[in-house]
Amino acid sequence: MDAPRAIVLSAAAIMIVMALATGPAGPLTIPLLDTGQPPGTGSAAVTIVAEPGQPIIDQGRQGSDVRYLRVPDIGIEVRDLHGNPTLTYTITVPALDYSRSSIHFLGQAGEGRHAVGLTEDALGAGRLGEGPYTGRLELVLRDSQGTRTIYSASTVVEVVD
Amino acid sequence: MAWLDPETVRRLRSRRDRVGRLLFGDRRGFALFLVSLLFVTLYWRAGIFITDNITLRAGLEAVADGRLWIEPATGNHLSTPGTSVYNGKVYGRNYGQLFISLPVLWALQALGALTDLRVGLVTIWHLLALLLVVQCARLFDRRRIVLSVGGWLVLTSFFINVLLATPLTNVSLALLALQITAAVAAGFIAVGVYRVVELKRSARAGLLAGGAVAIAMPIGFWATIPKRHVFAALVCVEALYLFTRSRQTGGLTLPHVGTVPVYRAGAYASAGLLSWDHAAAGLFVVIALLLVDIPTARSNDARSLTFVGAVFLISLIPMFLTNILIAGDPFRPPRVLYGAGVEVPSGPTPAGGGGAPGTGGGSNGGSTGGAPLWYWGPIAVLTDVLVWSAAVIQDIWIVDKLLWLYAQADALARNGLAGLTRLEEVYHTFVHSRVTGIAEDARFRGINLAMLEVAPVLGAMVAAGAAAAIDVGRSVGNRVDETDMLAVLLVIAFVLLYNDRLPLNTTLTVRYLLPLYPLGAYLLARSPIIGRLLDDRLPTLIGAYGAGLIIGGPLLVWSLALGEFALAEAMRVHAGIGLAVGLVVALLSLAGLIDERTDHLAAIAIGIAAAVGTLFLLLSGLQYFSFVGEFILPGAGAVSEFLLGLQ
Repeated sequence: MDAPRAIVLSAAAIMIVMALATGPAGPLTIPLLDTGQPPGTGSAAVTIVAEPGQPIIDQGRQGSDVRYLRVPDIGIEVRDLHGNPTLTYTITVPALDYSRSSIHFLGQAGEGRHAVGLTEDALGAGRLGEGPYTGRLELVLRDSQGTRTIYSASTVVEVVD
Repeated sequence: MAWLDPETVRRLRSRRDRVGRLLFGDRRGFALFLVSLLFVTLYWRAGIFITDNITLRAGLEAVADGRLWIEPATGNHLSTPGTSVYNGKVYGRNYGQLFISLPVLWALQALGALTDLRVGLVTIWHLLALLLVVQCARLFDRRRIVLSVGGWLVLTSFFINVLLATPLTNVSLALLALQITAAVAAGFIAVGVYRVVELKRSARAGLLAGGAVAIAMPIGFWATIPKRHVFAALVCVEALYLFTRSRQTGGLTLPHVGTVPVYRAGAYASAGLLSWDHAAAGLFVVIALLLVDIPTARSNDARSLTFVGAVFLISLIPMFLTNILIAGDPFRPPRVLYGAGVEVPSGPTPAGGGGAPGTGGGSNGGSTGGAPLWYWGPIAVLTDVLVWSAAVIQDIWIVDKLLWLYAQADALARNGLAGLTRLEEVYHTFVHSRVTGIAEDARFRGINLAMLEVAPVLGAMVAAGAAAAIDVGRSVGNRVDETDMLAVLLVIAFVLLYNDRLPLNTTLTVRYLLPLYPLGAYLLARSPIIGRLLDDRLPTLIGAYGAGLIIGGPLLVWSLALGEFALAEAMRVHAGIGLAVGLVVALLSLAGLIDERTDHLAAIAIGIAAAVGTLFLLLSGLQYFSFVGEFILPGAGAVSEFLLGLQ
């Protein structure tokens, strides 16, 4: 058996053996991607380092009559991290009866500086008026000690053409 | 293989070769199949993309349990698009698809018992990749390098994927089985296009056409989404191939019977099997076949026709059986001829937004009588007799059913033709899409693309059509090739079948006309202009394709990231690029009709158009629609997270 053929056959053999080894009968197991502790437990010291700017509602591209709500990131710094507390970043716009949040797992993010954001969301044009709208941005920390609001500020959502 | 004697090994090898030749034609076809399968499973996501997948998954789980009905129609029963209620039970649809996915489901269960499911699937993917490496080594005649480098690449990729692997939790094996059969079917579409183009032109043209279908056309988009469209496209391609083969090869000689046209029968059988999944489409394919086959057949003797008819009827048995078991009437398929409900892509939020449930009444039961009567003496008597005998004949069950079938086909065709007169809609479907919403979900507004936008290579169809028209015009006696004729008729059949309902909700890449993509690739490969490009300008074409991918890809990703494009916006960007490139392709290929010197530019344009198609598949799978579910390949999941993280 020459070298290239040997490479191919042994590659196949290695792969099959690995696959069987991870099976119910085999010794290996694939680790679960988890952060060790259930979310919302542990503790962390979170401070705001960069306040978010103004959210805007803009046209979106390509001439569709859909508007997009774009929320700027909020900059935070995480210290003394234990376990897996969660941060929830929320925007509410009462006039539009709209609310949206994103959840971030600090156990995965780790200590240090992070930008916490909300992906843009599409809004049907029918619901919108001229603006500007009053809204509220909040950052809430959930850990073993309970729920704590780290940041809460009213904001103005401009409608941009 | 020291434990098997050489004779057994030889016999096994020759049986393997015969099966391989039957399925793939030759080694090139097999390599193409592997390329297609491996490519579409790159962005294979284990999740529900569109709400009627829920129906299919439930249907397969029911079939695996040994029944055709999903659950009793009581209380809060399943009512996702595609379900229908008969006799107090909820039934699904696409039973053909469900039954062929059943063995795959069993295989997956076995796999799960032997290996961790995720690692098992990763292993199978890489074993197939290794198989492709071996095929390439044989085809390119550079054994050492290809095997060594290829082998190491596959092994490295395997280890990276295993290191990144996490267990597949909450994954429905039924859904995976359905996705696998769809992906395999997509692979066979590429093989089918290769084989039929190889018969009619050359192996090189076949590989390019098949390759384009595999990696540059929206077949790849739907390959891991279990819907009937991939199977409809497969049937069209198989019918085309079997029809062509029947014209070039003799039949099979059976004892006591003689020579029977097995390929010819096979073409009809494909249509018959399609009707198990989608009766109306099957009907139209049969009609298209009849229109081309009967007039151009070498011999329509009793033996041939009987054989073809018998095989066709046998291929209809699964459909008849299923219909009888469900609705009690062999002619009443679970899918009412005009579909039902609004299908919605399931978005990132848990509520996928099921549309209006239940079946919309189609235009069932056309009138079969009512000819005008002439009230004049002998004519009146004659017409009375004719009407009376017609009534008697109609009462014969089979005639009644045939007339009913005819009425259905007629109604559908009329609707289709009426649709064509709405030129604006035709324009929006084929050339430039209108921004429409899907079930009022603003996130998906604008994601329906037109045919040219998603497969700009098809821009060359304009020139192909013009060339064909000139050819026929020059000498009307010029015999149009029968396979080309069948391809055109199949295109017309599907356009008529669906045109009055287009542009529809959630068509994304004009999915109802999915068969048009491989049929279009075939017709392009047959056109002399493209033929010229393939013969003289192949390096330019391939170079443009590579440049388009390597330069255009990162450029596109980077600019979409910079602008923080949302899903729908990114799809509109693709639409714009596709449209622009498609128009350039159309113009340059038309120019090629007049002056051969523009061929160089046309080759570049087509190469770039193909690259645009590939980029669309990769980005829509890895980035835009990544929310559908977990990526089966952990490496793909990592790439997807990277792309999303750029935003």
